[in-house]
Amino acid sequence: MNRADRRGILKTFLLSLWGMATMVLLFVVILLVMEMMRQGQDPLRTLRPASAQPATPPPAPPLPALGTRDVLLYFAAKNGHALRPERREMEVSDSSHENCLRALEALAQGPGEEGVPVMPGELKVRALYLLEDGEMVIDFSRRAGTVQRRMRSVGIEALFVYGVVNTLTQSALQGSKDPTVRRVRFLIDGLPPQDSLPWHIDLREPIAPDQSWAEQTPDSGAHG
Amino acid sequence: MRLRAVDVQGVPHVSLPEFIDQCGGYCRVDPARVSADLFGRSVVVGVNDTKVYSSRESFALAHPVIRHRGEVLIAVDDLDVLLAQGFAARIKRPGVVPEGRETGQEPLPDIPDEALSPGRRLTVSTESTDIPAPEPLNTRRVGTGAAAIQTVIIDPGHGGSDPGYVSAAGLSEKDLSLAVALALRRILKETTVLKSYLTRSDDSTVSPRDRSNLARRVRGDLFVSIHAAVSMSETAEGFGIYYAPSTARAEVMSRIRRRRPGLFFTNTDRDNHARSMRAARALETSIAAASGVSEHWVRGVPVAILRDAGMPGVLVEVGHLTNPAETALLESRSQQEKIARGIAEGIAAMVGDVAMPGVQP
Repeated sequence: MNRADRRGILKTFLLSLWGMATMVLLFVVILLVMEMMRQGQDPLRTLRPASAQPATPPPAPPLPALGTRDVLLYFAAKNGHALRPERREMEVSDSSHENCLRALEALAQGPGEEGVPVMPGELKVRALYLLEDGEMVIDFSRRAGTVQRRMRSVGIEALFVYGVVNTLTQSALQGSKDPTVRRVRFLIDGLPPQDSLPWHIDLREPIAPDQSWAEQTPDSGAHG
Repeated sequence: MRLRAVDVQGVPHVSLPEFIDQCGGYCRVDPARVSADLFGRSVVVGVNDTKVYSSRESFALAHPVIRHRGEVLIAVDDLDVLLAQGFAARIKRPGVVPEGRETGQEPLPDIPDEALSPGRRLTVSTESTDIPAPEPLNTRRVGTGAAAIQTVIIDPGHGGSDPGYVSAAGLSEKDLSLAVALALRRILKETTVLKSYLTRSDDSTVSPRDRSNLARRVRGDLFVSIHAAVSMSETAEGFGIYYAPSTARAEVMSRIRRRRPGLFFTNTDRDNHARSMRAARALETSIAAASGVSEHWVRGVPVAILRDAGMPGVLVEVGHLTNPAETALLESRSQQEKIARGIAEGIAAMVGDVAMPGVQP
C-alpha cells in the first residue's frame, strides 16, 4: 500500500467520522427542538436575536406589600361537573409562593355551604415550589390507608386539578417578589402522579388554568 | 367461519375485510385500497384493481377487488391466490357452494391453528345473482375531516382486578362500561359498515398501554372510552363527554405554521383535538336524544388514554354511580342499550353521508 492509498484511506475515515459527528449533532438538535416544543416553547422565537424580544415582561400592576385581598377559591358545584368560585378575604404578602400555600390550605379546609370539596381527602400538601418560568410545582403526599377509598373519574379528577390550578393562577395571589404563576405541575410523593396511582387525567405535564370549568356566580367577576 | 357470497356479474364474491377478520387478521379499508394483516404478513390491495402489493412480492388476482354497497368484495376464486401468495397460507377448498345452499363442512387444515378455533368451518352461501356492476370509485364521495371514520375503537374502562368505582348498590364501573361497550359494538355491527374493536370483551385486566397499543395497531379512526362518573355530591347526575385539548407542542406547531406556512405539513395533535371536539359534540346531542338524560356537558381535559391513543377520541362518563337513583337506572339493560344507541348514532352522524354507504346516520 503506497502513501497515496494510505492518505486516501485516512481521508475517507476522517470524512466518515465527520459525517457521523454531524449526524449525532443533528439528532441532538432535533431532540432539543422536540423537547422545547413539548414544553410549549417556540424554537424559532428562541433563535431570534435578543433585541427582537421584549426586553422585560410588561410591568405587573403595583401590589400592596401586605394586607388582605378578595381571593376566589374554586370548589366543586353541587351539580358535580363545574367549579363554583367562592370569595374569601385572605391575608396576602408580596410572595406568590406564600399566598398560594395559604390558598391551598383554605382549599383543603373545604367550602362554605354552597360548594363541594375538590381536594381528595387522601392528599395533603408536602411541598410547594415556584420555578422562574412561572411553573408552580405542588408535591402532595398520600395519607396512609386512604387508597382503597379513593374516588376516581375524569370529572372528579378534573375538578380537583382545575380547582387547584384556577385558584393558584389568579392575579390576586401574585406577589411582586415572585414570578407570576402560569401553570401548575402535580407530584405525589415526589413523582408524577401516574407513577404511584392510576389517574385518568394526564398529569405528566403542567396544567394551565381553564375558566370553562368555572360556573358564573356573583363572585366570579372579582378576579380571574 | 361463515361468509355470505354475492354474485357480481356472474362471479361469486365475498367481503374481503370479513374474510380477513374471520381468519384472525385485521383489515383497514381506505377509499382506494385495503390493507390487510394476517399471519404476520401485510398486503395492500387496490380497489377496482387486480394488483396486490406485499412486502415480499406483488401479484395479480384474476378478478378486480371491487366496492359494492359499501363493502369491499373479492372474488371467491381469488381467495386461494391471495392466501397463498400474500400470506403463505392455503385453503384446500374455498367452500363455494351451489346457489342457495350452504356447505362448508370442510376444515381448513392449512390455515394455522391459532387463527381458527377447532370446529370452525368456512361456509359460503350465495345471495342474489341480479346485482348491477359496482359504481366506479371516482363517482363516490370520499370522507374528509371528522367524517373519515372507518374503524372505531371501543374501550370499556377498568376491568379484571380494577373494578373502577363500585356503587353502594354494588354496580361496578367495569361491568357497566363493558355492558354499554358490548351493546355499542353490536349496534355498530348491525347498523353500519364501520369496523369496531374492543379493548376488552370480558372481565379481564388490560393496562392503559395495551389499550392504546391496540388502538394504534389496528389504526383506528375514533377512540371511544366508556366510563362512569362519580361525584362527592350525591345529587350530581347526568353524563359527561371529555376530549383531550391540544398539547403544548401542537400549539407551538400551530403558531409556527401561521408564521412559516409549509414548515410543518401536518399537525396531528391539533387535528385530533379538532376532530375529538366535534365527536364530543355529536355524541352529546345523540346520547341526550336517545337516553332522555337532560343534564350533560362536554369539556376538554387532558385524558391520558385519549392522548396516548394518538387519534381523535372521546371519553364518555355514562352516568353517576354516586347517585342512587341514577345508578338504579344505569343498572337496567334498557338504559344501557339507549346509551349505546346514542353513542352509535353520534358516530354515524359524524360519518354522515360520506365515505361509507350503508351507514345510517
